[in-house]
Amino acid sequence: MLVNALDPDLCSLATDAAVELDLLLNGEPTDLAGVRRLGERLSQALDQPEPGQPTRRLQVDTETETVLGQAFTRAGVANAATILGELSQRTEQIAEQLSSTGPDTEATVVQKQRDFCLALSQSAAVYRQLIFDVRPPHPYRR
Amino acid sequence: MTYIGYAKQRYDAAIREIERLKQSEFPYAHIRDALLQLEQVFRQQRASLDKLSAKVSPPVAKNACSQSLAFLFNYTPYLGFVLRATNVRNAFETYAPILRLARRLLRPNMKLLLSSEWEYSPFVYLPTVELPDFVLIGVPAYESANPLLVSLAGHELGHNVWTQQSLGQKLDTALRDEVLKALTTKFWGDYQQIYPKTAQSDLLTNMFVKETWLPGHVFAKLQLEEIFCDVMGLRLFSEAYLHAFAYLLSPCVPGERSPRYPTIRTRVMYLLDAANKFGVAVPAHYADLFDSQMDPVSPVVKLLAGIADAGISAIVPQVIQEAAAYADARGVPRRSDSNVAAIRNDFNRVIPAFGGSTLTDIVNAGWACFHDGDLWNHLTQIRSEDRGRVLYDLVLKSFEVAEYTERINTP
Repeated sequence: MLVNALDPDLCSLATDAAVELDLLLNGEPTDLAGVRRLGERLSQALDQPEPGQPTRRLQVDTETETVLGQAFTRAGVANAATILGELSQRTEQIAEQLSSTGPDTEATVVQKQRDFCLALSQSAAVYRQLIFDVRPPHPYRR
Repeated sequence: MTYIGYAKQRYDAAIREIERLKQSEFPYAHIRDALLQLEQVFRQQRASLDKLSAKVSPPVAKNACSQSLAFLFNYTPYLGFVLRATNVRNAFETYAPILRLARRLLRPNMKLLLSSEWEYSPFVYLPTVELPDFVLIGVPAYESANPLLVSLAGHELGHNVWTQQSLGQKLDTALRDEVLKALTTKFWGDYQQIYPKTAQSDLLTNMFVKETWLPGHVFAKLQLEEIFCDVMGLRLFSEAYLHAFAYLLSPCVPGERSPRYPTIRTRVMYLLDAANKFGVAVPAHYADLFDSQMDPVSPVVKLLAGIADAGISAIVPQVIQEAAAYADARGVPRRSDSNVAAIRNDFNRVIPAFGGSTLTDIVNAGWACFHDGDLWNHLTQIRSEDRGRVLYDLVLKSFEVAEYTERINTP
C-alpha cells in the first residue's frame, strides 16, 4: 500500500517507529519491526528509477506530499521554503535509513530518524484533523 | 498516576465494555465479526502501550499516548454503532439486498452492518486498516425502517468505491491543476488581498505558500467525492435516488454552506447532468425543491470554497463517467421501466413484487406509489393515514421475496 496522509496507519506506524527508535537510543530491547514497516511503506511511495533517472520520484498525492514536507521541517532537517524541491531525495534517504537501522547505527543518526518519525506522526495527525474534523458543531453540545 | 498509566486504564475500560457487548444478541453474524475484530485492535493498541517503559523519552511517550487517545476518539463510535446495529428498529429486510449490492460493487467477501443512528444524516464508516472488509452504513433512527430511502445506500457505497479505487489519488494531479488555475485567474485578486506578498511562482514550490491553498484542494477533493457518490446513487437507483435525496435534504440545511460539500444547488445541477447522460427521467420542477445557501462568512474560507467549486467543475464529467463505467462493469442492473410498471401494478393490488425483481425496480415502484395521490382510493379497507405504512410493508416484503427467489435460484 502506498503512503497516504489520510491513512490512519501512517500515524500509528510513525508513532510505533518513534517509540522503537527511542528504545534503541536508550539501550532498551526492541525488535524495530515498526521502523522496518515504515521504511518499507515510504520506499513504496517512490517509483522504480528508469535507466538514466538519477533519483527515485515520489508518487504521492498533493496532501501526502505536504504532510511529508511538514514532517521534515518539523523534525528540523529541512527548510519550508525549499523542502518541496528536495522531497523525493529526502524521502528516499529516510526510507533507506529506516530499513537498515540497527544497534550499530550511530546514535545521532538514530536520533534524527526518531525525530522524523515523531514529526511524521504529528503532521499526519494535524492533516487528518483538517480533513475529518468535519462534523458541524451541535448548537447545544460542547 | 502518569499519563501512561491513564492511557492504559482507558484501554482496560474500553476492553471491559467490549467484553460486555459480546454478550449481546446479534441478529446477523457480521455484527459479531466486526466486534471481535474491533476487540483485537483495541487489545493491540493496549499491548503497544506496554512498550512504553520508564526509559522512553517524554515527547515520544506523550505522542504515543496522544495517538492512543485519538484512536479511542475515532473508534468508540464504532462500538456504539455495533450496539445499535443489533436494535430491532432496523429494517432487517433491507439487509440482504444491500449486502448483495455491496458485494457486487466492492468485493465478494464484504461484510455489512446497518444501524439506526441518532444523527439526522445517513453516513458510512469507510473501510480502515482495522476493518478492511466491512461496510458500516448508519441511517437516521426514524428512517431506518423506511425502505424508500434504501437508495441512499447507493451514495454511501459510493464512498467505499471511491476509497477502494483510490479515485482521490488518481484524480489528484488534474484536480490540483484545476484548483491552481482557478486560484491564479478568477480568484487571484481575492487571494492577493489576503496574501499580498505571494508570487504565483511560489505556489507549488514553497511549503509556507502551499499551505495557503492546500485546504482548497482538499475541499475540492471532498466535493468531488460527494459528487461521485451522488452519481453512483443515481446510477444504482435512478429516480429513486433523486426522490430520496430531496426527501432528506430539501430545501437545504440553513446557515453558511460547508466548503467540504458543493452547495446543494450545485449538487443538484451535477445530478441533473448525470441524469441526462444516464437517461433518468427527472421529476418535474425538481431543482426548485432546493434553495441557495449562504457563502462562508470568513473571507479565507470563502476563497478556499470558491477555488474548490471552480476547480471541480472541469473534472465532474470524468467523475460521472467513472461512476457509470464502474457500475456497468460490475453488471449492476439499471432500472427497467416495464418491471417498475409491473411492480407498481402489484402494489396497486396490495401484493408484493414478483420474485425476480431487482432492488432498484422495487424501490422505484415504491416511490411511484408514494407520489400517487390516488393510491388505494378504491380500497376502503386501507385508511388514508395507513397508506404509508402499508406501502412500506409491501416494499419490505418485496425485498424479502426477491432475496428468497435469488437464494433458491442460485446454484
